[in-house]
Amino acid sequence: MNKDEKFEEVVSNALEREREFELPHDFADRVLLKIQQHAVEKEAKRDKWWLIAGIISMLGACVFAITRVEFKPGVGVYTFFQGYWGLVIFGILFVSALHIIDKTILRKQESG
Amino acid sequence: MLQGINLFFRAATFSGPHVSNDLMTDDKALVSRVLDGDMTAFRGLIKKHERLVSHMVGRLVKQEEDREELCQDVFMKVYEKLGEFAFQSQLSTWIATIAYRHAINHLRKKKIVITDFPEEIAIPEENIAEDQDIENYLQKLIELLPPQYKIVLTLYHMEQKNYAEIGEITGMPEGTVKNYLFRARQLLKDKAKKYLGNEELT
Repeated sequence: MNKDEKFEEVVSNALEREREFELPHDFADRVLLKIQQHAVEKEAKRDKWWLIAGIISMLGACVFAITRVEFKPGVGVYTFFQGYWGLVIFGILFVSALHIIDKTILRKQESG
Repeated sequence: MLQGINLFFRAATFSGPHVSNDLMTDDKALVSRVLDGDMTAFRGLIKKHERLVSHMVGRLVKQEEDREELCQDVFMKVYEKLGEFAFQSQLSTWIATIAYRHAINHLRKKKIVITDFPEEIAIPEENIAEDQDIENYLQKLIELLPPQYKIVLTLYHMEQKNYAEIGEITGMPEGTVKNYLFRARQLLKDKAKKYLGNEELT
């Protein structure tokens, strides 16, 4: 083997030498996991779009129905409370007080 | 001389788009199983081609932290597009094409300038530290070559791809592939000669 052939061999050996970069032994499993996650994300995204489409359709149907039946908005049964503002305020305060008692005293005792 | 004969023999053997029928049949069976939803088959496909993809991405992308993710993205793309693969080439060639495009896009995103078909090979040798081992020195030189030269060398020497297949993967004409291979090898040989001087190789 002359010098030139030896240089050729050195170059070929360098070119055929395995690279230091190696993929982890569980690389295939990681890819499969990523594909699975991607599929779940894609499905979630699709569900979200269906939900948005559903809400828009429902609102559209609502507007259509209102215009068709010439619905006029009004307070209806709540006109009864017009003469009883004191009762309404008492009701709100009473319910709020019950909530506060429930959260601060009763639930504390249960957890204790 | 022997190496030259070897290269000539390989070039002659692989002078056309030659695809082994056995390989094609294996690939067809594997692809068909994957398309039927068999994830074990896809795992097998990854195992079979991960070395090829890691060689290509590893050669083109320097950032250690990006390499594995890029390899994963390549196989995700393969999974997505597998239904479009028409067996006009070997499966490995098709996967290599995806890996090459993916790696080049990554380099472009990182603002690394890639000339389409660089004619000149400029190696900033001042970046190379002195090394006692000639193979290490040549490895460092290869790292400094333009991406197209690196990938042609990798596909030819490590993956045993022929000129037509390398052309298909990189989008280069066959003549350019031959030219790049010859010039890159010649440059490395000259550098090796210069590096070793008149020292006798053992």
